[in-house]
Amino acid sequence: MTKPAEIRAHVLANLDHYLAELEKQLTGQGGTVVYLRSADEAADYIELLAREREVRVTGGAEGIRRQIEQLEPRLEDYLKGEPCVAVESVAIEGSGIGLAGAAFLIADAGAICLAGERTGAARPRVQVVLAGIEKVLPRMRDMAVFLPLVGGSDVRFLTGPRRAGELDGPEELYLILLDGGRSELLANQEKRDLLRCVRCGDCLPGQAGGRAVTCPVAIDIESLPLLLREEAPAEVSGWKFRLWGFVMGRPRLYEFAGQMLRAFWREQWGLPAPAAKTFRQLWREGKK
Amino acid sequence: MSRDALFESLRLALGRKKFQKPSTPPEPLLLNRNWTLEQRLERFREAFAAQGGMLHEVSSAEQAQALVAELLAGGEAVASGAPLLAELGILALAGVQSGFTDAELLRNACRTARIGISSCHCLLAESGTVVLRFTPEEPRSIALGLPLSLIIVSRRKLLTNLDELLGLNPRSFESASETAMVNGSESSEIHLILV
Repeated sequence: MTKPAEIRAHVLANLDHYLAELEKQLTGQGGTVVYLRSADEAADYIELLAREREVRVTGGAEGIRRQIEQLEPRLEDYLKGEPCVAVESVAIEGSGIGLAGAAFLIADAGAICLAGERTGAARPRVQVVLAGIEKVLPRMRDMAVFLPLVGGSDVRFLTGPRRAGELDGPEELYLILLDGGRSELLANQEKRDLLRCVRCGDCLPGQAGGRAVTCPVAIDIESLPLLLREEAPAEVSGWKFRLWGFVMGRPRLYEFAGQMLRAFWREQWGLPAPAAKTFRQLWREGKK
Repeated sequence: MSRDALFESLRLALGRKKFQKPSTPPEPLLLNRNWTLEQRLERFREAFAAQGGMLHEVSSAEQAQALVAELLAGGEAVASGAPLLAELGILALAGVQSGFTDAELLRNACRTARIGISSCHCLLAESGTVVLRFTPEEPRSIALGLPLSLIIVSRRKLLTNLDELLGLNPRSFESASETAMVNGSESSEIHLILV
């Protein structure tokens, strides 16, 4: 077993101990730790917090829930191929409340590790960090083996809200620990190893590029995530897919639809503009 | 979900008792490279430049002052309360505001200034990383909030890698409310002056 795998296995076997240590350290440094069951509960909690702090929330609890699912997708969804968002810090409204997803939690330091791009771009008054309960590590020095696995140009370790004498930084720091079915996975001997995942992304579709993947935390890549992906029902249905299938089955209609799209294209849609000429046009020109 | 209910379900799933201590966790292997200062410098120059940072090396306070004045080009800057900046005479330069004790004054100064001058906790040679630790003397908005970040640090603070930083005193992270490890920046220009 690799060193990261050994440490992760040790953490999972003693998860209650390390969560209690993390909570004790972080609250001792001025942070607040909250345990919640699901993204829905977290969204309700954050909306209530925003209301208490008089911060306006665009889209209400539903908007917050969507952000939460991007920052902290359910472990099973992640392993089925839904990666976390690249920018791991978002502001709900102005700089009132900032939401971020943790890469790791460090028990002995009471620290939250954020890793990604521009993790410190927002400077909110209230910083809320979401994390699955499995993300805890025993000691700060464990970061020597785990940080290189997740990368990111910016790494921040939050060890509490701003302290006495500091002129900036969050006035309040909340760590929301999500169960999201993890305690059930922990009880399942067959699937418990999935919780070792540190979301390095190496095994995700498109990342491996056909090469053999060695999971740094020794998850059985060949069977466990594939098992989860196979369990998911194929969800290719609905009128959009039927329309797409109808158009794709009629070449002239497909070409006409492409011309219409080019003619009425608007930059405001925020989507990549279509190429000036279609493949079919280029093909015909090439044949002349 | 109540905290106690979660902890109870975890203990049940793991077959553990309340307050049961874990065995000693496996020890991570920290990589000790034993590089000389010159080796660390060489590696840092390469890695920092590769991330788009600008590195300047000076050997005296006068050279540091001249370089900062050149970068300021008559403009305004805000500076942190890092002792090194005072020692080098940076805080006395024209156009440099410092000594903030009020959050509102700091915010206003950061709105108008283009350059933030600060120091840092240490540098990591292997990855070209700048490690910033935010304290009352080192506000976040000066170190990272402005279009140009100018960081001035002694070359004695150049460590080999993350492993060396964690091996020195891992508990030091708790001494500040936040530690940031920066590897280049897309949103602002970073100039580093090594003294």
